[in-house]
Amino acid sequence: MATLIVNQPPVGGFSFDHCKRNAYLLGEANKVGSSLPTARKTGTTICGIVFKDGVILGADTRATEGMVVADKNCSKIHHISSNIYCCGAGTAADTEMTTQIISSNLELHALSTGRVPRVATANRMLKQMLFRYQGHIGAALVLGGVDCNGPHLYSIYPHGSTDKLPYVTMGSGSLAAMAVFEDRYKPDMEEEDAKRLVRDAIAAGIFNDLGSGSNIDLCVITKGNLDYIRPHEEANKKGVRTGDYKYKRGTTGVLSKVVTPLNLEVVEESVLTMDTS
Amino acid sequence: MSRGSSAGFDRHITIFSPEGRLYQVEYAFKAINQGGLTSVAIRGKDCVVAVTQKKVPDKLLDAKTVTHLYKITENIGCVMTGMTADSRSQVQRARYEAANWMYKYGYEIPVDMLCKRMADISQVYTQNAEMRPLGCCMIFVGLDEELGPQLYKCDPAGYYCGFKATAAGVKQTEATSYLEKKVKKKLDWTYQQTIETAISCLATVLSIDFKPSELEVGIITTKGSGFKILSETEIDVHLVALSERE
Repeated sequence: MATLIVNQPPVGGFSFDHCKRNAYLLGEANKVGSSLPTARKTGTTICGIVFKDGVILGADTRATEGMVVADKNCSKIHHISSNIYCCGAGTAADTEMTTQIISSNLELHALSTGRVPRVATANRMLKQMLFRYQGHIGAALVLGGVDCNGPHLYSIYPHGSTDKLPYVTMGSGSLAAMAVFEDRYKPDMEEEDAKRLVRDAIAAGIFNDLGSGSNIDLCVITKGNLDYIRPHEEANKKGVRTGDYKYKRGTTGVLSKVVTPLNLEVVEESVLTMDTS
Repeated sequence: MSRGSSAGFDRHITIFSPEGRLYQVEYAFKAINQGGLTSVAIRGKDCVVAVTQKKVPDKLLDAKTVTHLYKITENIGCVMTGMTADSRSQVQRARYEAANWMYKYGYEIPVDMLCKRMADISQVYTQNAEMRPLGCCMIFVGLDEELGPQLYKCDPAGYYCGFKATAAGVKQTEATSYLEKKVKKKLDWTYQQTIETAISCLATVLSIDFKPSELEVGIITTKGSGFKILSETEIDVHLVALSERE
C-alpha cells in the first residue's frame, strides 16, 4: 500500500509506567530520613582530533565502580566499522552495547548499499537511538572516522545532541583534556604532532582526574588505513613489589615439636557410578 | 490456499499459475501501455537525460499541469510511464522514502538504493493477494556523489537494473533497438549529443516531427544544480539543432 506513513512496528524503549510510584516511594523514604540508592557514574577521559590526513581518537583505560577501580586496562575505543571508531564515556555497559548495536546496523547498511559507511550515518543512528531513550542510556561518545567526504569528528551526548567539531573531549577528565587542546590545537596538523597532542590531552585527564587513569590508547584513522594503538603509552605501570612477606624457615625459633599420627581404618569402600547417559 | 488454475484464481490475484507465471504481473505490464506514451532515457559521460511525450488530448486541459517528469530529491528525478494515478502514488512514496533515508542515515539517498527500495515495494505487491501491482514503470535519473551519473529503471514485477540507455511504454521494443545501435557506436556522449540522441530516438520510433510543446525533457548534469526540467524555449533550441543536423 503506497500510503505516506508506513506502519512501523513499535520500537523498544523504557517503560515509564512506574515513575509516579517511584516518586511516591522517594517521598516516603525521605520522610523516614533515608534515600534511594543513586546510579553509579564512571570516570573517563576521551578525546578526538581532526588532523591533516584523518582523525585521531584517544582514551584512558580506567573503569571505576564508585571509588574502586574495576578494570585497570579496559578498552574504551570501540569499533563501529573499519573506517569509523567510537570512544565511549559514561556507563560502561551502555557505551559498549550502544556501539555494538549501531555497528551491526551500519554493517547491514553498508552491505545493502555496497558503499563504505559514512560517519554522518553512524552519528544519525546513535543520536536518534539516544534521544529515543531520553538520556536514560548514559553514553557520551566521541565518534570519528574517514569516509568518501573526508575526515569527520562528532561528539554525542546522552540525551541525543551532537556537535561536529575539529576537536572534542568527553568524560570526567574532559576539562583537563580540553585545556590542553585549547592551548595547542592548530588546524591541519601532521600525524606525529597530532598524536603527541592527543597523548598529552589524555595524560592531563589521567593525572588530574580521579576517575581516569592507567594507560593511554590511541586510534589513528586515515583514508584506507587504520592504526589501533593499544596501549600507546603505559602511563601508570603497576609497580614491582620491592619487599616480600614470605619468611624463611627458621625465622621463628621452634621450641618443641609434637607429632600425633591419626590411624584411620578403611571400614567400607563403595563406588557410585554417575549416570551419564 | 487456493489450488491454482483448478480454482481459476491465478488470473484474478497474484498467485502462481500451473506454468509458474504470475498473470496479474503480466497484466500490469500491459497496463503500462494504456497511457499510450513512450519514454526514453540515456546516460552520457557527465549527464543523464530523460525524454517523454506530452500529450494534451483535451483543449480545456491546462497544459502546465500535465507532466510525467517528477523531481524526487535535489539530485534525483524520474520519468513515469503508464497509468497516471499509479505513477503519482509511486512518486509520492519515492519522495517519502528519499526523505526518510536522509533523516535516518544523514546523507542523500543514492539512485540505486532508491530504485532498489521502490522495486522491493513493488515486489511485495506481487506477493500480497490483497493489493494489485501498480501499472507504471519508473525510470530514475540522478547524480551519485561517489559514482557520477546514474540511470535506473524499475517495473511492476519488482525487477530493477542500471542502464546505459533505456525506454519504456508503447514503443519500448523499437526504441530499445534504436538505442542499442547508437550505444554500440559510442558510449561517452556529451550533454548536447545525449539530448539530441534521446529526442531523435523518440522522433524516429514514433514517426512524429516534434514541436516543443509535445515533449518533456528532464536533465541532470555534473556541472548543473540538480535535476532540471527544461522549458519549451530550451527544448526548442535542441530541436532546432537537431533539424539543422539532418
